[in-house]
Amino acid sequence: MTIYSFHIFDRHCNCIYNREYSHSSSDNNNNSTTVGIVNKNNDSNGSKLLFGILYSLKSMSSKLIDEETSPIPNALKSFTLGKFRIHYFESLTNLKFILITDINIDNLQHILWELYSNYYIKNCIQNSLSPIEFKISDDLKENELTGKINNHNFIHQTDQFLQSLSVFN
Amino acid sequence: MSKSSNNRYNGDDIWKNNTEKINSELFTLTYGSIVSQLCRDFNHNYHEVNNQLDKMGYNIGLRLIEEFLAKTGVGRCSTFKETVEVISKLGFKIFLNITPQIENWSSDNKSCSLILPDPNPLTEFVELPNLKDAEILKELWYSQILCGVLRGALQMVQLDVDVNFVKDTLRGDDKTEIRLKLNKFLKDEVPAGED
Repeated sequence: MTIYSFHIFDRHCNCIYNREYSHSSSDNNNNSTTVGIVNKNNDSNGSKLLFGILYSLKSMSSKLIDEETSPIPNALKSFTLGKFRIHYFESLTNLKFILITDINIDNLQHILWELYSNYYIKNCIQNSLSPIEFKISDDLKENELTGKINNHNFIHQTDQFLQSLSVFN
Repeated sequence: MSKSSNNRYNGDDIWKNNTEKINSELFTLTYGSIVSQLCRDFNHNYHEVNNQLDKMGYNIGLRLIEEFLAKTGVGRCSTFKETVEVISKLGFKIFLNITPQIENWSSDNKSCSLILPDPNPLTEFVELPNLKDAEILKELWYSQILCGVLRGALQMVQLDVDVNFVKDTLRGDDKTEIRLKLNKFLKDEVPAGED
């Protein structure tokens, strides 16, 4: 059971957070400092492909159900690809939270909800120094330099949270 | 949000157990000093003050909606009617502990009024100095910030809505009324290169 990576896409389809965990440091188990990379592959083809898959699957899944008659809209939650399972949660404000794990982990919806409703809200939304629009454009000066979540507390706390899960390693 | 799950979300419970509260007088007075400072800053140009309050509210709304969704866990509403009910029974309830009445639906179900109960938490102890400045009664919408909050919050859940005051007891009207008008549902953005 392994969590490989964690992505957040904003409503402008940009990858605003990308965290990849490396699990190779088995020789040093009690080392709590995080290994892996943060926000390095936000604009990589991998991220774009991941978004593309999710986007297409999402629009397909919503068309598979008759929205007039069904009270609950169809929602994509997870799917598998080869050796990976991709867990997906989208907030009503179109923020997309994604965890990539190995194929043995069944359901991480509550974990994705926790990442959104607790860690993201506390460290980004309720932090007035953190931007909430990550789109780089002329009329949004506060974000011109960022475009990503660089908030130390957010990175640290989500790392700790995910690593504390029994499914992490 | 579906009808059956409607009962699951209880504004009272969230207000009691899961909301940070501050002293209501401190809140009222702080808001009052913001408004009066804006009046001074903009040289008693009340239209501009309304605009600024609306803008401040808008920026609050953009963030507040996420907290609202996280606290209540509501799903997407299927009609605008449902949305307004959630705004009144959950939104106003958990942030201000009031439940505005919903009235005056237009025949196409796209606009309606929210009647704020008396006392409105923003306007307790407030009197507009109409003797010194008669314009203020005609031009200033004292609680305009609420319109901005609603507009910002609804925009983030893909609803383009016009929000404005039509009546305010501070001006001597019989009630305090906010008018909401749904313009359109905003579409999800698509990635560059796709259509």
